[in-house]
Amino acid sequence: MNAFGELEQELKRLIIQTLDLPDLSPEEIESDEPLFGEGLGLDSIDALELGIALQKSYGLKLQGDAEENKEHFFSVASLARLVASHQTS
Amino acid sequence: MDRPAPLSRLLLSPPAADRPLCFWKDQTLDWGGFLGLLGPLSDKVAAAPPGAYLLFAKDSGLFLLGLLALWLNRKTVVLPPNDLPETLAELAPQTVGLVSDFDPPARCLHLDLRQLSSGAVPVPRLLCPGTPALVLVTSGSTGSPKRVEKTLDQLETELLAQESLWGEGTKGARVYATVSHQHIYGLLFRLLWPLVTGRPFARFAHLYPEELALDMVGPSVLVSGPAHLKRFPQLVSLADFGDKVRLCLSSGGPLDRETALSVAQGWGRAPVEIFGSTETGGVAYRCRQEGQPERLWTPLPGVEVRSDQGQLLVRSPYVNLEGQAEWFLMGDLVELRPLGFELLGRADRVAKIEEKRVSLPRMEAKLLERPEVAQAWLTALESPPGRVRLAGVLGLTQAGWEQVDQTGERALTQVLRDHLRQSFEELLVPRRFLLLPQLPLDPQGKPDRSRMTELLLHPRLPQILGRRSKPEELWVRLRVPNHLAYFQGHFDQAPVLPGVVEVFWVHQYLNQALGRLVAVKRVSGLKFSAPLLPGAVCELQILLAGPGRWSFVYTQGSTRCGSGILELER
Repeated sequence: MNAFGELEQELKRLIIQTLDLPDLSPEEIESDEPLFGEGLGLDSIDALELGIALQKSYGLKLQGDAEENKEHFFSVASLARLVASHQTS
Repeated sequence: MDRPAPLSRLLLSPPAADRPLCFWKDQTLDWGGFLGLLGPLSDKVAAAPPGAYLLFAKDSGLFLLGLLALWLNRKTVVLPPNDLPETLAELAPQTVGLVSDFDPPARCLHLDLRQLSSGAVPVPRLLCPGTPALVLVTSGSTGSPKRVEKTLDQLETELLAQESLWGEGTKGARVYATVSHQHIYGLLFRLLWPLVTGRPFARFAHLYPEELALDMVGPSVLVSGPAHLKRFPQLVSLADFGDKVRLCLSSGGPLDRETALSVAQGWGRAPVEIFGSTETGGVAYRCRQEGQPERLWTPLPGVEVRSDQGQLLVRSPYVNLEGQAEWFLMGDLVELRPLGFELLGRADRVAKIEEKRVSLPRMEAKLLERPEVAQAWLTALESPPGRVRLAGVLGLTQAGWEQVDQTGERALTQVLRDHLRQSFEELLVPRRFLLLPQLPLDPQGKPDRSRMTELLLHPRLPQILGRRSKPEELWVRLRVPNHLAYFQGHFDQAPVLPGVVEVFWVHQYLNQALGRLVAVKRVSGLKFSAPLLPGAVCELQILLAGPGRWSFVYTQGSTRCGSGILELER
């Protein structure tokens, strides 16, 4: 698994742990599936909780643009891109 | 504006055309622009059939246009709590049409707030709503949604009382919110109060504190609730807001002490908590500060409280009185004190999840609509710490178990969640379900609540991913739950599945397959060669090895984890 794949794996574990998704293992989350609504079914409070977890784990602070944040939170893959760009910048 | 304008007389002498009414980002809608849109819309509404109309909009500016157009033309406004198709369908028979800023989910008389034209301002006149002026729909404690009626008088009286308490120090402040105007608290505080007191209001709710920090300009009022406030300090630095937040309101549920104090410290003013309900409007308030004793809830001006067998009763000019009853019984347990009261929790089976009230019997009834579910019991569970969600214990039907065997538990619970999503918001849909042959009972024969809560937090059986059975063979694919009861103390640093539990599970599955309880006579040949860890997915194979003798083996891929032989009593 490449570094990006490992990061995705790590984020899946973070999501399961943060949001207490007891009947789910990282392998069952598709990197491209939508986190909210029809996909994994996360809600608006989950988004806040995830924001807090990302800040704690990666020191990543979201910016104020709601539309951009929506795109970042679309899937595990988009979150991983956000974290990766934060780590290299 | 020194005195708030009475709501009913607002359009008799509206504020000057250049006064700002509402805003979003750097765009402002002033009174002139607003009234220019209201005139033509009001004409359209005047021509529509009489009766009650559903009103839903995400944009508070558009919502207000719809509200006033309906109230100018003897129409009753019904506010659905959300825009879910099922909610709207349920309310449709009681209403003539829908006024909204989205497409109606089903054919109906629709006034689209996205297609407005500007024209002549409405002729100055009194608001003249239908009777009642407003119907709010809330989750009743009995299971079915409850209609709560309001008159303009009741709303007006409460607005005056609120302004007398919070008006000083917030004159001309801009009003921002994290809550919806479709519910009574948001309707009063982020829309009607700013409207009648000349405070510009934000057209949309701010769901993300980062965005709010960026958007907030000048002296402001924040209309929020515990769900958002308790996460604020972790997501943004409260100091980023400077001294802009002159008043922070919180309602929907009690704010925890830690959050109250950190907001007080960050913004220099303690948040004001408002306690109330859809039926009663505001009832009491409190404001907690460092170094002060825990403040009691103080009744709002004009509100009287008493208790009956520990349950709170309220009499107030803003209460909708049902029939001739003078006192309104609330679902809250209370202890009265000389200067106010203390709240002790809910008396009924209504849970509050992030300020959203949900009737547990109603959701249980929804679950029972599914052919897979024979029994359903729901509870609010705090897991992880700080996050309360609903969780359910279900007794499955034969059809339910057949589906579990074929597709696993998660596929089934996904179907149930999808079913609930048609009637409940995502926040309320339980994430954790425990599937049992039947609900455990207490000695009185009632569902054993404490046992079910314990099992939800720490299950004793694995999650079934798939299962096949033949008379002489049983095969189960399973996952070892992370929160399994047996990991406690075994071992704290590195939990592994105790071997005796592997034997216990084999016994359970044999009982289920044989359809009766059979005692174990002897266990032999036990060998635990590799540990099973929390979250492990493995396969269990049980084979008939002789009369009453069953051999079992747990495997993970090609690794044998545990094996042995169970001899059962005949």
